[in-house]
Amino acid sequence: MKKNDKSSLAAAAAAGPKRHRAPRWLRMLWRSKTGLIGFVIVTVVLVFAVFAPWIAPYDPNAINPVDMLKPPAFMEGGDMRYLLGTDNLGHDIFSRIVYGARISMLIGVCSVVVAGFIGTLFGLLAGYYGGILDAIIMRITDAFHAIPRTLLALVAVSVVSGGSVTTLIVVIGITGWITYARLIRSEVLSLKEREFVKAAITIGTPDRTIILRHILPNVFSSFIVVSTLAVATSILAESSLSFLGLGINPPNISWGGMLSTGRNYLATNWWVATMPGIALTLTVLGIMFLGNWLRDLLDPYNQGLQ
Amino acid sequence: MEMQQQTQRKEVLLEVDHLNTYIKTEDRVLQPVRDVSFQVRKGELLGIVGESGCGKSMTSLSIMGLTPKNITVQANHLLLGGKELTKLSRRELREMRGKEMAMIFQEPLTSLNPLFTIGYQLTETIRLHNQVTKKQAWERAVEMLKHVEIPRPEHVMKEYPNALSGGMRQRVMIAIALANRPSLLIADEPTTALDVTIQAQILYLMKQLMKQYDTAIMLITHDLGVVAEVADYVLVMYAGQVVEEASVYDLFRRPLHPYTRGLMNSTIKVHQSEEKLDTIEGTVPSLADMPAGCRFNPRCPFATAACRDKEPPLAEVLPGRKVRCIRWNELGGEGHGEQ
Amino acid sequence: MARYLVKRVLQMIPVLLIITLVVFLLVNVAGDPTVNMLPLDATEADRQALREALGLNRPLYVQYLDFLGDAVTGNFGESYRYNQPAVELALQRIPASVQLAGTALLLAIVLAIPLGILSAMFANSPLDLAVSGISVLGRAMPNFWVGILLILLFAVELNVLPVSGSGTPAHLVLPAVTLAIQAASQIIPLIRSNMLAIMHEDYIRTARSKGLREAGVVCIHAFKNALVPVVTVVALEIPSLIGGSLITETVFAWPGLGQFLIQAINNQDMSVVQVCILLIAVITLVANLLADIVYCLIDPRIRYS
Repeated sequence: MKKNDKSSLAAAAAAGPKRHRAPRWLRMLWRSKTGLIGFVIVTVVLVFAVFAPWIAPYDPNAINPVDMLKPPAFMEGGDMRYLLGTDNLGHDIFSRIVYGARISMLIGVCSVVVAGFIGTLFGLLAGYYGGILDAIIMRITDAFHAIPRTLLALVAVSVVSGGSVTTLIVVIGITGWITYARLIRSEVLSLKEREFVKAAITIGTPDRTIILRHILPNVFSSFIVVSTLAVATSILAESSLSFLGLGINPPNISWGGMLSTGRNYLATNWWVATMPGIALTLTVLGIMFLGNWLRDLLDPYNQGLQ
Repeated sequence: MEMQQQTQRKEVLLEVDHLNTYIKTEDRVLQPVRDVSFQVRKGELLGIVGESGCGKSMTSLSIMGLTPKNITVQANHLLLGGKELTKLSRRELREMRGKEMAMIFQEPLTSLNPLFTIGYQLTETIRLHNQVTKKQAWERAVEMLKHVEIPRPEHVMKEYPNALSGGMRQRVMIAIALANRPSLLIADEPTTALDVTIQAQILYLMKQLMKQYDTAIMLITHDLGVVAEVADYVLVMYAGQVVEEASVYDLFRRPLHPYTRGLMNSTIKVHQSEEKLDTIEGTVPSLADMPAGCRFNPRCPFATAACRDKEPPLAEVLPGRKVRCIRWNELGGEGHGEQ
Repeated sequence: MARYLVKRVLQMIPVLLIITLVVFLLVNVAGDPTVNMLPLDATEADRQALREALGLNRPLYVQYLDFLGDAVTGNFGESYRYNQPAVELALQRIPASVQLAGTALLLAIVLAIPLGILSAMFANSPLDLAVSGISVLGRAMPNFWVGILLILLFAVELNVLPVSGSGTPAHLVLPAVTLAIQAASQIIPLIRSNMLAIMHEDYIRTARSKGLREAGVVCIHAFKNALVPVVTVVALEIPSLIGGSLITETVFAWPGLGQFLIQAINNQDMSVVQVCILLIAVITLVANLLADIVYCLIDPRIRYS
């Protein structure tokens, strides 16, 4: 119950609203600092991933025994040629990070496509048809939930004995579908109670049409938000597998693998592990920020304020 | 007649003088309550009537000091029993709550904490404001439950809210509110969420307890029927402002403001069943988009250019009667109370 | 409530069946169990003979039923590497894992509950920004990387804690903190958003209207309600905590089930892998069941429905 700014508040209440020109998403991006940071980081990582050969100053796999374990350029004893230093084989760490972005993004995005496809399919079946099908699918998701995802992926990669990019995409995708199945199922269940879907069912619209026309478009926004965050989780999963030596094999480069190498040089050459660690953290952070911003943007309850 | 009503009124308990509330949003400041002034007298039941969004709930929360954080409350005076609420520290105001002034809410289903027993929630308020032992508080709580006519009070004390019906929960809320014999009870739509038969019981109970405990009640409702039933004095609010103030007798005998008349016409009367139900055209203006001049003018069938031009003042046009309308005298011919 | 719990227990049966099926299919169909049982120069005939001896040429469903029967009696065969029953080997490793994961979970809960409540009470304050920032960072960093940073700081730079290994309580600190950071980072934002939502509930307004001080409103009325979903969340975090401990145990050479399992995967010691996965799954399911029981105990609404 302050009295101080009485006149100013009353005056402001009497005045009309301010005018905006920029589109809403751009205004929200500008206002949400984390969203902006996320947007910038993801853009940079995507540029790295797509244009790696043009951005990386060196062949990331070029072994250079003369320049082994050079510290980053900004440190004492650093070499201007190697921005982030070199590792035990004289690889340029910056070049490897640029190429590592490629693997992270490729596996992150593609495995989410796989997970999204399987999960949406099962979620739709469970939610729309219900009954015994729903019970079976839900028990399967329970089963998958009871086994840690990393573990399942590790075993799967090890039994097919190979860390090819395709294997990792499929394995990480298959182990990530339950999030989607549960999300889509619950969305479908609530949509089925809505008038427009009930009406469509009543007038005998074929299931296929109801699903394509009424249900899928309405789960789209939560699908996008979940997918963004799932890309972050998939990148983390890939890095964990590669760190344990069961992920990406050379000559492909993974940040997780680089961290695993760097672990042996912690006492003397901290940058070998730290640089890819920072790259990984920033990328995942950026994707999470972008995902949170998208969630706020697409949230219908959030259209007015924020 | 009007003079008589005025002189009968008792000592002032609550004085609200020029109460304003502001909400800061993204790009502007909104004002849900605008220059609201009124009094509640000892032992009197003041009804505040209006449609949802007219600022009546915000007014009551402002008095209690329970407005959300993003709302700024300003007032020349908020005097309760001679204490200036605007000048109290947060702690002093907190100590007034539950002791000097108490509140019950619209939703009995959600107003009680689902994870605590009725006994805990009732003794909590007793122990908070009185130096009593657990046992004494418990006995007093059981006594309170008896007063609000809850059967098997000892048993109910040990129950969780989910075991009780809506009407029972509202009785518990009343017991909590009256436990420390406050001088003012604010009831925000206390019967709206209840079945009609239960509504009447709760209103009757409140009226009865009011006399027993010598408590004044500020009853907030959208239902003129409820007001006619129990109120002594009535405040009609529209779009954040008081538009009419009168004793319940005067108001129903002769409503002065076109809005009050509209509200009365849209309430179904038994002997009117074959006629069409009048409604007020249009909807309540949104806070962000208040009309210029009289705030009721876009919906008022009698609005003139002057109404659109300048905001009318709340004027005491007859003894003890205030109205915010420049044409009240021209329109006031046919009273609805006599229909 | 009893009926609900019985239903939950009965639901575990098909879930366990599906888990055994997944494990069976992974090992016997996706992979080849004989791959490491023979010397590298073994001929196709040798391989065929081994398959015959192990019963791998029988129809899949017969093999699965066989596997299931063995699983029920606790017989998962021998580790080819250690020549000991796989179950015994796995069970030996459990105490160390429980010690690590239990310490971590306790630490996470002790950290997350006050921090989550404080950042909700002072939403958008510098404190909230710091807490939320750290928990976002915790979620963005894989736990092996958190572990490496902790080693770098406390073992290499400050030299106050051992890099890895086990034996003394000091050895437990870094791996437990690593896991706790991971779990707390997941729990904090949930407590924060729960608290924020609860602070808008009608019963909070009622508590305030009684004249309760804000600390009482938060710590008594809001907290108990915020705790209800936290129980579920903590239970849901258990698989990822166990998943995290696989890697953390490897990073810190902690002699638990996780490290043992990773070694077994690397050695293609499939009977050990099967046992470990099933053990982990059962632990997870039991933990979720316990969470449900706790949930029923603190929320009377469940008891009435």
